[in-house]
Parts: sequence; structure tokens; C-alpha cells
Amino acid sequence: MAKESTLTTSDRMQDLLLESPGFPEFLLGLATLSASLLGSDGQITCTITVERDGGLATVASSSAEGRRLDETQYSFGEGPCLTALRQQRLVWVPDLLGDERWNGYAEAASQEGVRSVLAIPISTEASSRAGLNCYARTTNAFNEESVVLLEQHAASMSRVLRIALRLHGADVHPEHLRAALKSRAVVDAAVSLIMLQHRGGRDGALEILRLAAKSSNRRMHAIAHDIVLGAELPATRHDGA
Amino acid sequence: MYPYGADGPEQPDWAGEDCNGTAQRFRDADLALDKLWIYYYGIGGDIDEVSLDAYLHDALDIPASQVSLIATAMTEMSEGETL
Repeated sequence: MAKESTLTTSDRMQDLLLESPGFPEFLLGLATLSASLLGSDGQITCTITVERDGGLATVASSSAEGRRLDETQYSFGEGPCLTALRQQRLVWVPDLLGDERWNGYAEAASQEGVRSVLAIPISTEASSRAGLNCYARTTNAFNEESVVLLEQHAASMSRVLRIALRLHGADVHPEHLRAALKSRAVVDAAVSLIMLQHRGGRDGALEILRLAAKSSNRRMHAIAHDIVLGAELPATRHDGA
Repeated sequence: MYPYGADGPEQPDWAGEDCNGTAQRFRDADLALDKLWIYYYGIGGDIDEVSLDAYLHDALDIPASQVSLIATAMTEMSEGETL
């Protein structure tokens, strides 16, 4: 019985891997799957946190409440899940209010109605860290049995998460590269428009853009953006400063 | 022959002496090569990072149009980091 349900879960995780368009969607599926493993009544919220290269974090939550709880931890810079994630060890908090380890966080979390927390590390590759976090509205919501169940679950998630991290090399395009890509796309679109209007070459079009930016003291990609949105094209390549 | 000069009848306008100015500015600005290249790429630059490096070390001549873009990239970057 237990074996059969484990099998089903791992099948569902593989399906997630195949069907998710991106890493956030995959994680969301994993969080939802984990929550359903703990009961279908929605009493327990699961979130999964993945930190890549020490900084960029992806958080997926089976409910909006869980997302807020995770963000609360990040704003405090501490909490059971961050400890589990960063020290890669299990953190079990039967009663948040009776626990003195995370004062500020415990207060904020109990205002959300959370009373017990279980946070389990999920082992991944050296360049990333992951953890599964479970929140419940009652004290002592997690017992020895659920700890064992979730540790097994974390172990089976480890494999599929490693594959997902490779598959969705989401950080191939971190923020500054995405900004460059976006800027380039806009500049290229504006260049195409200028070329068409002037029946000119690419270099000439870029020069028109550059001079327009210079004479109006704005950035090239801002000028390009305006042009793509339908602003009048700069008249000649010799106007302005 | 540099491939991007092929879109007009005129000869590519080789930058020649202007090189020194931009290359010197790069050295003075203490700018990371990869950051400059990414920014330059973002505003439409067409030469690869290795060629940019060579140009900045006075080891390669590139078309004036690219030199202008590199200069613009440096100026825009000095006014604020983000694209």
C-alpha cells in the first residue's frame, strides 16, 4: 500500500517534470503534490524553496498563505525553513509560540494562524540548496510518522529536483542578461523600422538611433522603445548634437 | 573583410585613430569587459567579446560604427548601471 502510493507520487513528479513549462511551475506542482500527500483537507500548506548560487531564490507555495510565510522569513532573515535550507538539517517546531529560536518570525507567523512547522532539506547539487516547508494551523500537527513520510518524500524529490534544475537552467539568463536581451530586441526592432523608412543599412540606422539619443540626452534603448511604440522616427542621421 | 560593412556602397569607415580615445577611456573607467560587452550588445553592438577585448587593447581595428556604439555604451553605463 505504502509502496504503491510512493510509486504513484514519483510518477506524478515525473509527469510534472515533463509537463511544466518552466521551473516555477514545476516547483509549484511539487509543493501542491507535497501538500496533498499530507492530507487532502487543505489544513497543511507546503512550500518549496530553492536557492541557486547562494542568492537567487525560487519559492513555490501550495497556497497564498504559504508564500507570505516564506516571504516573512526572508524579511526577518531567519526562520525554521531558512535554517533547514541553509544548514541542510531537519527543523521540527511542534509549537511556534513555545519556541524561542525565532522570536520575530514566530510572532509574525502566528499572526497568520500558523502554530507548527516542519522544514526538511532536499539535497541537490553543490551550487543550489532546497527545502520543503510544511505549515499547520494546529500545534503538534506533525508527528514521528509524518516526519518519516516527509523525509522519504524529500529523498524522492531530490532526484527529480536535480533533473529539473538541469533541465530548466533558468539562471542561464539572470536578471542583467535578460535586461540586455530585452534591450537588444527593442533596439533591433527599431533598427528594422528605421532601415525600412530610410531604405538604409543597419549601421546607418544604429547611428540615427545613437544620435537621437545623444541629442535628447536619453538612452538608446529608450529612444528605440519609443520608436517601436510608434513614435516618429528621427528624421536624418545628421540631426541633433 | 568585416561582414557588417556590406550594406552600403561606401567603404567601411575604419576607426583608425579614434580607437585610442575609446580604448583609453575603457582603461580609465575600470570597467569589466563582460559587463561592457553585454551592455554594448544590448544597444545593438555586433562584434564579439574577444574582438572587443582586442580592440580595447589596440590590437584590432573595428568599423567606426562599432566604435561609436562602444563609446555610447560606456557613456550610458557611467550614467547608471542598468539597461
